[in-house]
Amino acid sequence: MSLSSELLQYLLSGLTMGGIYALVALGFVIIHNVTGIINFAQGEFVMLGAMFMVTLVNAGVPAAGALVIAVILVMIVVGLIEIGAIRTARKASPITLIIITIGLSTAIKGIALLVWGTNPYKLEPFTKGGPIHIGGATIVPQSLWVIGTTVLVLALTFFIFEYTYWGKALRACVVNKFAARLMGINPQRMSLLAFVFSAALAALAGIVIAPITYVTYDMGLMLGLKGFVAAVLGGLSSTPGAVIGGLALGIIESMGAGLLSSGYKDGIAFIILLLVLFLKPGGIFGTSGTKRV
Amino acid sequence: MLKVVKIETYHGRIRVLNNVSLDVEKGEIVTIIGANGAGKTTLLSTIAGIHKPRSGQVYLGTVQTSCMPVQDVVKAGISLVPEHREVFDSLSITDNLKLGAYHRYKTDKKSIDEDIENILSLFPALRGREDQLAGTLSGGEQQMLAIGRGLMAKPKVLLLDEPSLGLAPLVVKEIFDILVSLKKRGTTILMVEQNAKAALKVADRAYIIERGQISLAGRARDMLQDARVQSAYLGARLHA
Repeated sequence: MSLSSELLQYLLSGLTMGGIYALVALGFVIIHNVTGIINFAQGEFVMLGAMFMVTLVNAGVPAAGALVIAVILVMIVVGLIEIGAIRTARKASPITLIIITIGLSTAIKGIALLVWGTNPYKLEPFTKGGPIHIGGATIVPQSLWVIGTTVLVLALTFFIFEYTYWGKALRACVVNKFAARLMGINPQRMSLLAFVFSAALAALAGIVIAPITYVTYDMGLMLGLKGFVAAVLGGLSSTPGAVIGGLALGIIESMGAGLLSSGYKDGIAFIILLLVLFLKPGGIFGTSGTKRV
Repeated sequence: MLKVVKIETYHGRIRVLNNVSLDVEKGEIVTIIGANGAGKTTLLSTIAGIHKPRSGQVYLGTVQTSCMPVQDVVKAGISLVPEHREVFDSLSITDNLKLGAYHRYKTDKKSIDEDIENILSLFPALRGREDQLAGTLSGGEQQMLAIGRGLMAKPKVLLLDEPSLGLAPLVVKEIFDILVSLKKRGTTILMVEQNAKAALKVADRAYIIERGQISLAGRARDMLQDARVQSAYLGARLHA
């Protein structure tokens, strides 16, 4: 295999994982922008999506229907969590709420362990067929599903934020929370909306990645952390930043694993996190902390 | 129409408003003048529901609004145009105006476009630039947009916090002329101002607030002539 086809191979697998990171990162950014909370349970939402999907498919539900039901189930679960655990503590400081999300993450993982056990589950790829060869590199069809879903979801997110009234109300909260309250925009409802929307993104990420990585009760931790790194990379408050951060992280990781050693794969993400926090805490696309008045 | 009864509001342990009562009749412009830190902004925030008074009540008509969350106060018909304008700077003019009508978006969707049209005819400076981002507007235009956004809520009482802040004198005049034309259309306005002269010229009645208490109330015209008001707020020297 020549170097160029090797690089292409790493790029393709990087884009696949990067798409997943981007979806998770987008969830982090949306919740953070609207509520000021960093939701460390985001990774568990990914796991829940994948677990519901596997369970439904194994129960004989056709894949397309299972996908829709699994996403809706995760949205409902997360909606209930928001109402039960976040809203009741809404007067607490963001740091307390962040700690609550860490607790939630542990709790969800614990429940998942009880329900589904420690065995990994396998989900069949959405479409059958052998690997596809592109210019010396190979890609499994499921990777195309991942990339396609990512693109579709990003386009949909863009549409919602740019063209719908609810999306604009959410953006209004992000741009100027105080003024948004004065317009009569209910911050509690917006928080619920942000959580449920992020849950849908996470669930979709979990479902499309499941055939590639297997599904385990603890898959959420790493995906959540990587998504967080991607979000920080993009500045934590910018939606395009989160997407680019996710894709960049996926590609760097895959290149690093391929060219150095696959043992460094996870390490690379956290080295990037540390470097960004040390050198450019506003994220590579973020502006510095100042705001024009 | 709007009645504030013996309000006391605290910031933490500090009492900012002490036994403040005032009322605004339908179709009036009432202004509250006072120095920095007298409690003007806190008074408007309390009426708008952002701060909860420790004691006292706010009534809009017969409805007590002082126990409601902000979004219900807006629905009840009190709309605050905040200090420093606080427009949504990365959203367009149209979006800013649309969001002003948030509380009636579900029930009254059809009339919103018509209302935007009305606001634009009230503020011709904004017309033809509907897609421009609010953050790129000048200070005066942002103030117009903020007032327009407040009006989009179709409030029974419009609260204005320092509409002249940081604006050139000509622009201030333009804004205050608009307030007068709003009054002619039947809008009820309660306004806080440091620019006492300009405010008293357009207002029907005025209250003076000092260290959290109403120290003087009366007709705006009389206040312009009042020696104490002139020396304290209008920059005139007392001839001893």
